[in-house]
Amino acid sequence: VLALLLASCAPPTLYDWGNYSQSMYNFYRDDNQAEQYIAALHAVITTNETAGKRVPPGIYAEYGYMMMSSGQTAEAVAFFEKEKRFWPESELFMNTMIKNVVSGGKLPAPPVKTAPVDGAPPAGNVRTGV
Amino acid sequence: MSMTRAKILLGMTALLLISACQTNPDNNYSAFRNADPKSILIVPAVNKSLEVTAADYYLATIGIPIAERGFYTFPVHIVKRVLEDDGLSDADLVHNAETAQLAKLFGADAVLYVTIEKWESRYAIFATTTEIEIGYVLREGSTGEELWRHTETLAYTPNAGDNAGIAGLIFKAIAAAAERAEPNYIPLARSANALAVSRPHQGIPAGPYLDAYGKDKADF
Repeated sequence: VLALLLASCAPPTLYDWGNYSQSMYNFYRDDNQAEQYIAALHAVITTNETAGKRVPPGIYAEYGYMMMSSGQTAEAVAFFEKEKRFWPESELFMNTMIKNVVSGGKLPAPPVKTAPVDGAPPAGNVRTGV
Repeated sequence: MSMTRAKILLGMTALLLISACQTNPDNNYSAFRNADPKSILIVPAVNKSLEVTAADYYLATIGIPIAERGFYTFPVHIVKRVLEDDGLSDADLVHNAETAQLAKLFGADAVLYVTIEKWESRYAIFATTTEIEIGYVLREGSTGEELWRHTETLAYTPNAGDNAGIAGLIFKAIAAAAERAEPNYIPLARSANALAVSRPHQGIPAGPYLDAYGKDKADF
């Protein structure tokens, strides 16, 4: 009911995300839901492609990653390539992921703790009615 | 009484949703306009609540609203896994790493840091309130300059109506128990994100994939 209520006042969306968010949530709650998460990603891809619509950012890549995790390297590379083709912003990252699949290696580790970042927003915001 | 029955009863009741946000003066968007980010890297959220699962569950809600603002969003699940593989399994470590290094690793124009300040459900026999408070900071990818900062608070209390007498009390107790058993965190998080990013003078200006890109200077 809450979801319906909230959806009713949401603006029209750029993309059709299908069950992406809910299935990722279910997957995080329960590792056994990996298959359902993969199926949801696949459904987002096929639904949009069939409708001639742009597949939302990151979906090809997320699917490719799940393929990579289950050892389907050719599939993984194919979907990382797709992400790169449709979303040029992802080029650098996808090239790294493809290298990763091919070499079976890991990404170079980013340096940690060089400059402390003030990530927290200021406390004490006004919260009326709560 | 079974949960299913409780849910049906809850479904018949009205809902009360309370939203509140910072009453700060409007954000200054000059840094954002200068940076003009096209892609946003969302790193795992820092969790300051007592619910250990909050940060992981939250991650499932934040990718879509940023993408719907017209930005390329890096896939949040891979980002999380890649950072974990590289020894940054703790979100605090990620948030303390240098922004420029993170952005460079993924090729991102900007990095979004989310902090879960509150994620809780307070049970009372006749009224359970679920509340979340989310802090957002967006930083430019090469300089680490702050481009946007916002805090969003959202609370939800099932309202079982004003029926008098024992029946009314029973309805309220059922609604409160159902919310306690299964708090509505995820719908709340989705709403908080949507409100946070799109509210005029408070949210994020439209990104390149929205028609409003570059034309919304009256609002941001």
